[in-house]
Amino acid sequence: VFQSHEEDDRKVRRREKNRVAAQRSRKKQTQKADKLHEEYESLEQENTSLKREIGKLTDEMKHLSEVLKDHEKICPLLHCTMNFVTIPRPDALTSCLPR
Amino acid sequence: PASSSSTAVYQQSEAASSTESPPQNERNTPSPIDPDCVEVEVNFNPDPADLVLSSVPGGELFNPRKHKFTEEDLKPQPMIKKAKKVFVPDEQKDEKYWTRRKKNNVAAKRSRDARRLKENQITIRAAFLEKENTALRTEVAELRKEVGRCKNIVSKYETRYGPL
Repeated sequence: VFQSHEEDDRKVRRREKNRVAAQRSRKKQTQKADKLHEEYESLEQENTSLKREIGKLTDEMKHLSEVLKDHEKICPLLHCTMNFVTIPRPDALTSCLPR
Repeated sequence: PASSSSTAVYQQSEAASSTESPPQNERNTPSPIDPDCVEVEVNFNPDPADLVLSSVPGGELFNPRKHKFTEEDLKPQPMIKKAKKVFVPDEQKDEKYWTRRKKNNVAAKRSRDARRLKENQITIRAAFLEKENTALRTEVAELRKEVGRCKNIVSKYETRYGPL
């Protein structure tokens, strides 16, 4: 049983096609992963910076509430416009409970 | 209405992974700013099947809320020694050859599964972060509004009656 040169040629060609396709596929997978990692990284950074800002603003809020509260105690006026102390909101918690 | 992430997560069998927990800080009373202790409510409901596909079979369920990925080589591990593909004729395919093949096949599968697992984890975590960030941004806007209102009240008082 002899195999013609033609069949060999076909095999070689097919193998080369598959090799190229595999290479393309691997490249596509890598690029997809890299893109995902990039997006993930930027999300983490944004996340951290937002949390930091929330911390800052919350502290500022606390400070201002205290100021208003303190004023309420010593204010001479009958109906001082400052007597609207804000209620701490339950949405954002700054909790540092040990896990 | 709960919304689940429409992310592509892939099947696998056995693999290994690492879990990290964020550093915890104790709150001292007069400490100015809380670092990563800030929490916002996020309704993130991923497909539980996806979570399973992102978890190490021998361990606990993957938690996208807590699991961060450091520079944990979000870079893939480059293969150093790559042996050239050498053609082996059937006669030379002895037992030694086949044990080597089997060992390599198993290792290759392990590697593929580990990589798939990692990508799944990152995908879900990214989906979670997107939601969390939206919630965080809303929170920032509201806080800015409130702080603005307070400062406004204070300044209105101070312009009339002088400093507090």
